[in-house]
Amino acid sequence: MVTNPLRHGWRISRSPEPGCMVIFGGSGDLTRRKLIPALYRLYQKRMIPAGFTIIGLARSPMSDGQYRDMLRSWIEQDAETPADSEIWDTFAQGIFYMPADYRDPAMYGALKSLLAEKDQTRRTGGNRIYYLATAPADYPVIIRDLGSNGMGMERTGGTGWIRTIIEKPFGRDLESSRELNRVVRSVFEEEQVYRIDHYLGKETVQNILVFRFANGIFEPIWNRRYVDHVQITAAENIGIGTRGGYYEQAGALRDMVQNHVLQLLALVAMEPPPDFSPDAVRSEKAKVLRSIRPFTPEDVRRLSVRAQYSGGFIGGKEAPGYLEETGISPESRTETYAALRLSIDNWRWANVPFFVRTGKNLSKRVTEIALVFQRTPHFIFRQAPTAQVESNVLAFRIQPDEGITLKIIAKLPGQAAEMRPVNMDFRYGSTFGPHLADAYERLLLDCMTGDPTLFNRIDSVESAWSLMQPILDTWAEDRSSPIPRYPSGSWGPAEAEGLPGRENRSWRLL
Amino acid sequence: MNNIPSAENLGIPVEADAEAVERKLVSFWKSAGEDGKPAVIRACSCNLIAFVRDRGRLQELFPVLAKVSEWHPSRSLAVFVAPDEELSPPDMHAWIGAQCSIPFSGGPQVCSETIALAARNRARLSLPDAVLSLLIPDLPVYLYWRSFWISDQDLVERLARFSHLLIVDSHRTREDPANRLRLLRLLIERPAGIAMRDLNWSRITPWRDLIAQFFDSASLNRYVHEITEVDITRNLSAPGSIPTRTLLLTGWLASSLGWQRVSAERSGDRWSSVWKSRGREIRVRFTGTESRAGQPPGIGSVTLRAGGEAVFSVFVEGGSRCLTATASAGESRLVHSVPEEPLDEASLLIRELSQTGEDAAFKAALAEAYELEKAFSCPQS
Repeated sequence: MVTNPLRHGWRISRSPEPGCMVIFGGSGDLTRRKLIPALYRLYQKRMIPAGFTIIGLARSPMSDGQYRDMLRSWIEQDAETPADSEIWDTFAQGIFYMPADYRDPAMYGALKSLLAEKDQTRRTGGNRIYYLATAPADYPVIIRDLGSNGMGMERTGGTGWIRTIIEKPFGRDLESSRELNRVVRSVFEEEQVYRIDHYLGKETVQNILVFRFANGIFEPIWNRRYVDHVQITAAENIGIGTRGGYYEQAGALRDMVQNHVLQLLALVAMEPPPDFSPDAVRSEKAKVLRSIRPFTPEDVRRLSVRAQYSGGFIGGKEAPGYLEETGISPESRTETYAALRLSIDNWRWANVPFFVRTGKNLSKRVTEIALVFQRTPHFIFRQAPTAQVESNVLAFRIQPDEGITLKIIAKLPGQAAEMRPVNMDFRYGSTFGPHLADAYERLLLDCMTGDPTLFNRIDSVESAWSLMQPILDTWAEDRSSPIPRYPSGSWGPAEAEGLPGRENRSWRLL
Repeated sequence: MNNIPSAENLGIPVEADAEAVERKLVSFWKSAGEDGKPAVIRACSCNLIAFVRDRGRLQELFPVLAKVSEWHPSRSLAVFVAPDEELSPPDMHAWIGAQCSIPFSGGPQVCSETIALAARNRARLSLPDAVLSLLIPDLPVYLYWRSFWISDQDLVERLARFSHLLIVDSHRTREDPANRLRLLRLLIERPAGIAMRDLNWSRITPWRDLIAQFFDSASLNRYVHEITEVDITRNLSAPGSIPTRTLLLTGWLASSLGWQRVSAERSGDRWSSVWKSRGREIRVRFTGTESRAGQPPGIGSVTLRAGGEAVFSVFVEGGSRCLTATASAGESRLVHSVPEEPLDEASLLIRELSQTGEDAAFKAALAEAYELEKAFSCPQS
């Protein structure tokens, strides 16, 4: 670790050492939409230093110049990233390209030589990030060959650090996730591995921890004595688009619940960590995921709902059904909607159901976590209709219109004891100005500075897969019962209403 | 709704009594939400008190507050002392207005309220109490002493007692070195518990950032302790006095790197100082150049030479909108260009209000800058 006395007392101490980011999948969609714009914005904001180097790897033959031109055109198309030729020119001096067949062992020798050369000319000091932005099937091949070429090991006593960022999915079930991890751990130490879930980089997701553990008044009521149930919704108002090939193999449970939704649940249900160190936070998240009651096949039938979208209208525009989408088999049983009732077996959450739901082509795009509190134990306003008295709700809006709302009951002005629910609103946009940092900017910078707090540790990943596995298995085995359908633009299948409905609860209207 | 007050036409004053002002604000917001008008969100994340010299300065201040409120929705209190003849009785007046913006396209307007408060005669002494009664409870209080003027010091010190942060702008003292020395001393001797900021410190943040970044690299890090020469060129808008930013930048380098000052001397628009560290001598030279047309006033370049072979430069080229950093050591030459940050008053305030805690680097740099300024003023001392 380099000590720089000019950083002493610095208010912004997050500038990383110069390093080299090798992007496997350097011409792919993720690189185009997220990685390059985020890196360029960090460069503009002086958050990554001179000498920072990007090496893009992909199959097509291209020169450095052609690759730079392609990246520049991406930046120019990105509405949120202001392009400036003077700045781009110096940024581009640190961009290089290498045509690569990931399955050719000789390629890794060439990459090693290129990295050694950049260490000299761009002073990157042996610091590396390998970003796996390829098809998941390529991960084991790339990792093994990095290992066999000695490119994964940090030199003892040396100055360089080596990290790898792995995009989800981390496997497609428990076994493949364990297998992938075996390969990863044969080359990298766990401290070198950054499993990225971009949801965790969102400002509002991070604010859940601040809200819970920097405010003294909420933690005493954050438990089974006061909370009736918790709802997590991750709804999208778009279909699968051009991702049919991927989605057909994944489905909503793998695509959203196993990672994003369970990570949100972990943040809202975890115990207070002793401090904000990466391991303390990640250990508490892992603990709560381990405490979720596993599903038996019978539970799967009772406590889960899957469905596929059929044709309908979203925002007045006609939307096709899932089976009519490009690349989808007409017999597909892949779910585009999943809802679960989860139980956490620990002292804090015993008997508090966690209802989670996610789906595509729903009525609107919204991600929200809501704690629905128990009603008053005794209602003293006898003349008021009790139907007016709703539960208090604390809702974290993750996207869009990020913020926190507390629903309380208030008296309507006048002689009668009329009551109405009203919202106390905190909105990021109106309280802290218009700009929220992009999740990828935050997470890339965290990785460069060696802070894994917002990345998934392997025990969390495996706990999440363990929980999903019986559901995946039971759904896969059930080839006879029809998959429920929901019209595009609706809030999901009627069957999902029964999950909370059987307990006299209901999904929130969002 | 947009009701940005203007200095010429502050509107009809209301009684400068907290209850009267709040009542007026309630009816003001009620009318904003009446049928047929676009939706409005009244937002407030802090109290911002801006102390200005006189009514004339409000003209410059109100657009600044409007821009700041887009990022830090606040209750803004623009406070000034009026000459006796300017106000009719009573001796203290208040005016209210609002500033609105639309942070997201298609979203509702977000509005912040502004209260202008003026006093004359003996009522000026009760201005801090009046301000206190108008603050929104439980939200942080930031005090911006816009036009540093020594006669206002007692009032500002009383306002600072209930503020979390005092912001000044030493750039505004440029015409008067004695005034600046007083300001620097005031900042150094400030009461404990109040964080302090100087917008001039914010102006050099990009420069400090790029200089510090050179030495984050493991292979260049050693040079930070081998610096032997520092050359700073500065476009002078007011020749004669050494610019505060240059002093602060030198103060920052010296305090961070443990340099001890040996001497300081001035010859025309050239200032030089000699420092010592670990048995090594460091020469720091400032050269003032006259601002050319189209060239913004401010630091033009900073060059550090180290270890006999390494040269680190940060500079802004004429006509460029970028700040460029270059590092040459051995065979490698690295270049980094970043956009020049807006240095207007509102942008600087927005930045300072985003990071409101104690700034240890500023504190240490300020102490060195003050001593250096004194040494240039009285070289024999």
